Amino acid sequence: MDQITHSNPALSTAIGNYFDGHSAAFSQVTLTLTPAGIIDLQPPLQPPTHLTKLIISSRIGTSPRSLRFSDGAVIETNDHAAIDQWQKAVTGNSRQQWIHRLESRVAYGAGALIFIICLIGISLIWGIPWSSNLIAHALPGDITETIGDASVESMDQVIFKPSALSQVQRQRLEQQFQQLLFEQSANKGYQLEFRQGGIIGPNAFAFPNGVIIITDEMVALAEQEAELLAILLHEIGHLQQRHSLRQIISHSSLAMLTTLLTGDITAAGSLVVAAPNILMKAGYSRDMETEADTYALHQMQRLQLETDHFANIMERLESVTGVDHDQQSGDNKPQPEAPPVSADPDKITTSEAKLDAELPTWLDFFASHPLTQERVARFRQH
Amino acid sequence: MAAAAEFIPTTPPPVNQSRLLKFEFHGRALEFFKIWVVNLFLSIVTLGIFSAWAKVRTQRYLYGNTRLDGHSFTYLADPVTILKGRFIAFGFLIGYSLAWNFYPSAGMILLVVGVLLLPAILVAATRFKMRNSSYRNLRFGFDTQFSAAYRLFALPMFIILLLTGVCYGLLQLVDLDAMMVGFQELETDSDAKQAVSLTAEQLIPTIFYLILVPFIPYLDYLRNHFLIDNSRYGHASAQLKCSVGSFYELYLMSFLVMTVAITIAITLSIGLVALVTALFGSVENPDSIGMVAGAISAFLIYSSLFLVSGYFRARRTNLIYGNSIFGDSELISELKFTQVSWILFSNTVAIMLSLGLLIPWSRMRMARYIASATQLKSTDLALITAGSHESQNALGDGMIDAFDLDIGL
Repeated sequence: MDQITHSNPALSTAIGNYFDGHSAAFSQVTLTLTPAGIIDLQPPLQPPTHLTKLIISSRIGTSPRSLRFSDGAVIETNDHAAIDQWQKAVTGNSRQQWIHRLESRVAYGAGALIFIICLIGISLIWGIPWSSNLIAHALPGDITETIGDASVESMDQVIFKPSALSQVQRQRLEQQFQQLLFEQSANKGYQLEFRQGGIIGPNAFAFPNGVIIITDEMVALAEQEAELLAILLHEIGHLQQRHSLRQIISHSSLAMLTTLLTGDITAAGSLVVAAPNILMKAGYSRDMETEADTYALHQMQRLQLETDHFANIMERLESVTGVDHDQQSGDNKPQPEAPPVSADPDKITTSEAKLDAELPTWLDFFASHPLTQERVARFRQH
Repeated sequence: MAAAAEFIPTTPPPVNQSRLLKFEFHGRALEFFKIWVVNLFLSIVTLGIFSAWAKVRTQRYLYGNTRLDGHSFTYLADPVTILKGRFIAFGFLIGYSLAWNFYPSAGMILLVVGVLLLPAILVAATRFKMRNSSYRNLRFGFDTQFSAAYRLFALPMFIILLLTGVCYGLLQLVDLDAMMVGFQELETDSDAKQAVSLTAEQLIPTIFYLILVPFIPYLDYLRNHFLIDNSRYGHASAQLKCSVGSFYELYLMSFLVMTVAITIAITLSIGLVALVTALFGSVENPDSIGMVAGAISAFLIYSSLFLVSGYFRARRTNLIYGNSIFGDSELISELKFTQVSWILFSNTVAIMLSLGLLIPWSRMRMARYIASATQLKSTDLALITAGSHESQNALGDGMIDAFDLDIGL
């Protein structure tokens, strides 16, 4: 071994507590590093041992570190400066110390913090919407079929009842719907179905399997057929942009990001984690509603339908129920993390939808839909 | 006394004289903050791989700064083992959530499998945690077989699964009934029947939980007895010395405190709303005043829950740890619920206002308080020796096959 020269003679010795590993008894020892890299103990509880034969725990803050002998005995010491210098002098490098170096400078901490904040911001604002869009469009058809079928089935079990509309009425709407699809060369797999909304009342839903369900109450609410077409265009917009799938994926990504960020933190109360999550989910949902509105608006203009029809039925809907008109099936899927018993879809829909109508503006951030006035205004302007 | 003292110095102190040994926590917020943020950064950059190392470093910091009688604790877990465990758990969670989304019945089966695995996971995780904790170079241990856990928890698990199954089955029946009512559209009282089916849907899970509630203190008692009675420090085995009655008392008292706290919070908020209405009743926009009063009420009720949670945690910790012995050493736990509640409440507020930046500070604060309220009454710790079947070579112990999962102990 190389000869070791001590830059600081005070660091040639260190003190620590010696534990033999057979009992909880301890004795204080003085460690001395010889120029040959040998550790001598005083009292000599171990024969002189070369430093490289010891397992030395890496440094974490000022917490004590241990030097472990091959027979299981341990010396615990707080003389970090001495141990660091010994390791460097004997082995020439300081293995494992890079993390400690990162951990011990305020500048590195600040840098890491800024990086984390930027990364969270970027993933929330762009990353999650972008990647969920990408994945939603890449998923094979039969998976979306399965999800959609399951959602329709569960909604049928819990909320819907078969439609009471007359055969003639249904056929007329069905025809109009097919005409709409044909005129905008949308996917021909889409189907229109009718249900009684029950406690949901006037509403319309788009499911990932291409099924659009409109409730009898919604049909009854419309004064003109064009109003229903406007609603259907909005729902087709959801389907075309695969919103319910994107919602499922973005919610899962959000959950994964949350786990990654808070994984080891149990001290943080649940509200601390839940509140930002609700905010983000509502934000994504609003963006999708706006997208579907944009789709409906453009299609109505293209088909030379009066865009006022959308505004009219939205306003009537709000005056009648105080509840916004449409939900994507994604809202109604039991979330994977939720136990099955508590998955109560109607509660989720109504409570989320009610937020829109009743709460003052500072709670907009929690709303799953944009404000009805804003939505109506967009359609009035054209 | 003074006269007696003259004779004593020549004789050694009595063997059985016990001392009170103090727990102390020396972690510092800024130091821990830097460790926390750098490890979080590395975990994110490595897409979670580094999180196992981050966990070990964090635990080592927390253990290393917890001292009893001046000596610190040591966390010895191997990050690679933790990483493997995390891969397994992550895979299971992915499968579980996929199953719920695509094949709910498969999700149900996975849920049942998960419940059936719980005793094994409890044993494995506790064993991992105990064996990787050491103090004065003697390891803690958790010596029991999986089968013991299954023998103990078989009946409670069977009852829970049975009740869940019955509840699930009943719900299915009710749904079918609701559908059938729906198809018979001509029936005039279909609305009434729907109302019945909806209440049944809420009623069945409620009854299910109500049946379970009386057993919760007993389950908690069983679990803690199991965990502590099978633990040891060196050769000194641990024992929980408290009766099932004290667990029932804890839960009943907590329920009482909850009732009182929420009643007070509601009374206060009603008074507040009345006051606000009396003062500002003439203002043109009563809605926004109602909102503000509502928000304050919600805040009051939410705050009162911290009091309840602080009470429960403090009392439960005192009950469990305060009645635990290791060999002839007794733990003394004297947490004050007012302190715990206050720390929980102010930590949550601080974390929210700082957008999470004060998480490390809040952890240091809680750890410092818990350590300050904990003591060990012991004769001579030095007499404790290593467990008989403890491998002296602490590293490379092939027996540590279990993986790490964080379940609250």
